[in-house]
Amino acid sequence: MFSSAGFFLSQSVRDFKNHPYLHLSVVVIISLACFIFGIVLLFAFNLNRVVDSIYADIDVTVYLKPDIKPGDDVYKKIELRLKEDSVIESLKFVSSDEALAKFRKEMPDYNKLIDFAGSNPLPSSIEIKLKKNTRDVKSMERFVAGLSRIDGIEDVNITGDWINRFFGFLAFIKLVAGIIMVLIGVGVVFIIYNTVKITIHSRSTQIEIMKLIGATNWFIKGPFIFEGIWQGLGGSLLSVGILYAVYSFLKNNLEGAFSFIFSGMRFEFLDPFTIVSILGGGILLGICGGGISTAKFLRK
Amino acid sequence: MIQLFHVNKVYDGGLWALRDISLTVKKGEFVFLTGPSGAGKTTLLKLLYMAETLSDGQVVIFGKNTSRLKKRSIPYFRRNIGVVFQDFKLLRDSNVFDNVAFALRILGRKHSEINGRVMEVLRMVGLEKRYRDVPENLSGGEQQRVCIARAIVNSPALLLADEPSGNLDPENAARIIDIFNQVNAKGSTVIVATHNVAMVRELGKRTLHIDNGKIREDSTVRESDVQ
Repeated sequence: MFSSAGFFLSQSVRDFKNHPYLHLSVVVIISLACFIFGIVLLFAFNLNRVVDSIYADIDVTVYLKPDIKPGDDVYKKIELRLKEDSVIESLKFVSSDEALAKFRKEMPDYNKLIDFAGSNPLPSSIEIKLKKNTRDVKSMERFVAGLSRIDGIEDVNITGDWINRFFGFLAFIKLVAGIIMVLIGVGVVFIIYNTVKITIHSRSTQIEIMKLIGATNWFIKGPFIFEGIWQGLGGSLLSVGILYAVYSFLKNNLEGAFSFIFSGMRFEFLDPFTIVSILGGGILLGICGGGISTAKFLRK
Repeated sequence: MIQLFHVNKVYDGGLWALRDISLTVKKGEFVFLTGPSGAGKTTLLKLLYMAETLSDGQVVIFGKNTSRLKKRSIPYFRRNIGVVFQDFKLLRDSNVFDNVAFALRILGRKHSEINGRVMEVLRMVGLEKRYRDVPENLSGGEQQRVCIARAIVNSPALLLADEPSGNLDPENAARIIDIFNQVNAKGSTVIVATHNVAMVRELGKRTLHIDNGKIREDSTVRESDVQ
């Protein structure tokens, strides 16, 4: 068994040396397939990070009617009602004085206007942080609609009401990316099929001889499977390298623009598990290619 | 050892290659197949190593009816048969050593055993110094000897040779026949298809003369050759 594996290994390495262009073409195709898959993953991975960062910024502010303070019966009722809601992570009461102090600090140009008014026009409020997994548009709409009906609440405000529009745009981007992926995927499959056809032709005589001498199907397949492993490994490693180059280019040239829109946003490369998955997928593709190219002759 | 019962072979397009062939070859026999080109010699050999399927009749080898042999059993069946192909059928990308060693590798033999046996057989065919060469660097006669070495390396129970001396000079042809005799002496059945009447006469072995797909004569030495 092990001596056969050693033979398959040496055969596959020798075949690489004897037919470098044939193998290189397969490596390039596998690399292309892995690259397309990888770039989509890279895109999706960073898009999810953008979405997460947007969700993290979503706050709900509940403005209370005048004269409601912590300790009041109405306030207790509101607090109790909010704490019962499973979507809430934390609550923070902001008194009208605190709100005014914050306003004065952040908007010093308007201090005179406040002084002119004579009294504090800002209401007390409760700042609500939502749990991460409940920060989707529908949950929030439902939550806000429920809040509006509570006695003692004057108004409800969600920071970032542009989010709805953003998610609509995101859905469109995903659809376009999906269509492009399918089209490129069909193209790659077509190229792989044709390359396998050429490979089959180059191997037909060799396979016929092996069969006539008494080799079993598995013994014939062995070297081709090993070749597939090399091709897959080579192709997927190449694709990860190109992906990293693309990632570095985007990071150096576009990250600044993105962080302007999404503060603190950074492009990240694929995590180790995904990289290993791409390498595994490439190897699997190579093994399938080797298997398909021999199977036709082994069926005879 | 080998029994053929009313075997017919018709190729696609209606070309009759063999007609109602019945014969028996005993274990350890040395048989020549003679006849003109297109007589059916190669087809008969191909039926024996199952490179062709018969159209009608029965072929029994090693006690097994080839028509009833399961597809997955064919490789194991072929391992008992060494074949010297007319067109050599050498692995183009493998050198002389690896071509011959392949027949042992499929049997899962150990490296040390393979190395020793392959070199022994290459010495027998006079190619021990060319073991690193690939087939394209060898002459036709040398390629034929590689093919012979591969056919005999695992001491098969049945050795089939299709025109094994076709590309050889008289000296090498005699050497090859000597090797076949050695293999035969060790108990293997040998069937050789050839045009070389002089060689057949000299050896005085059983000869089956085939013409137009039929066995016309089955004799130690053909009458027409003697005249």
